[in-house]
Amino acid sequence: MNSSLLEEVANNVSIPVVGHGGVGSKEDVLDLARSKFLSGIAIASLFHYDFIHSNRSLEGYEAEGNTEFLKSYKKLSNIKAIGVNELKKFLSEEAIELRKAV
Amino acid sequence: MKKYSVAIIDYQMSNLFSISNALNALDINSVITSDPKVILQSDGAILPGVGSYPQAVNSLHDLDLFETIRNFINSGKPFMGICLGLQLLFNNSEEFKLTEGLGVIEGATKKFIDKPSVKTVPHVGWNKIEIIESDHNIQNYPFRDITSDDFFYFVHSLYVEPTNLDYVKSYTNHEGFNFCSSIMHENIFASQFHPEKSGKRGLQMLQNFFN
Repeated sequence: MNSSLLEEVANNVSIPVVGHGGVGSKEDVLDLARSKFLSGIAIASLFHYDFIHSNRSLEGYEAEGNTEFLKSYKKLSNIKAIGVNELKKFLSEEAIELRKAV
Repeated sequence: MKKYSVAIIDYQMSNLFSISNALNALDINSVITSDPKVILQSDGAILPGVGSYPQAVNSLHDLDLFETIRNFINSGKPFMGICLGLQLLFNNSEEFKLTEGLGVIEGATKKFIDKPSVKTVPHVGWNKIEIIESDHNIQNYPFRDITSDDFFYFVHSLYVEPTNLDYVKSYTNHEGFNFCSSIMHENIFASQFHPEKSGKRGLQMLQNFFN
């Protein structure tokens, strides 16, 4: 995640900027959340790899495209996957104000 | 016996189905309508709103809804305004050009961009509301079981400034500026945030008000 680029963009526009693409760990998310120039952070891989790793059953996902990939429970080495609720808890403990896990 | 039903006022520019879905989830009957008779016969009404003030006012005039809304409010039955629906209740708005609204609540609708500390417009996303303690004992108190730690969903570029501060029921902070995020006066409750887009807390609020 190129945060200096994001900061440059956010400082040059008056509309909300959402950072999207490349957070590899909860610490990355924390850094961006603390920076205050972003209105939002979009997270995909971090959650997706956590989901496929913690969901052992493929029930209901038989129609999904790459079931071999899902069954492999692969992890990407440069991503420290985390679930949504766990991430919220972590950010909350670091004094980032956010909506509680539902 | 006729079932309790809420009219969702259709003036051709709103997220009508979000609201209808929210009420369905609560088992509250509703009807999306621009028919004055249906609106006036309903047990409650919601004035939603997404879009620009001048266009909304034109639409309301074209559909002859100004009087219907005022009459419904005078009936004393629960009336909820959401987002643009809150702003339309006021005297006017400076969005694009100064436009007169329903004038049911004294005050104006102003632009965020004119406030020095505000750098980002529109105000989009989840934000907290600081609830002004008020009469919890009224039957349909909207904030029952809701606290100032709860988040609601906002998306707007203007805010309301009621002349009578007693009507303000919550304040919200956007980039250092505290603005009125909801008002209540007699049978009217109106919020700048969208209860129908605010998860469980939003549903709670709808359920509290239309019980």
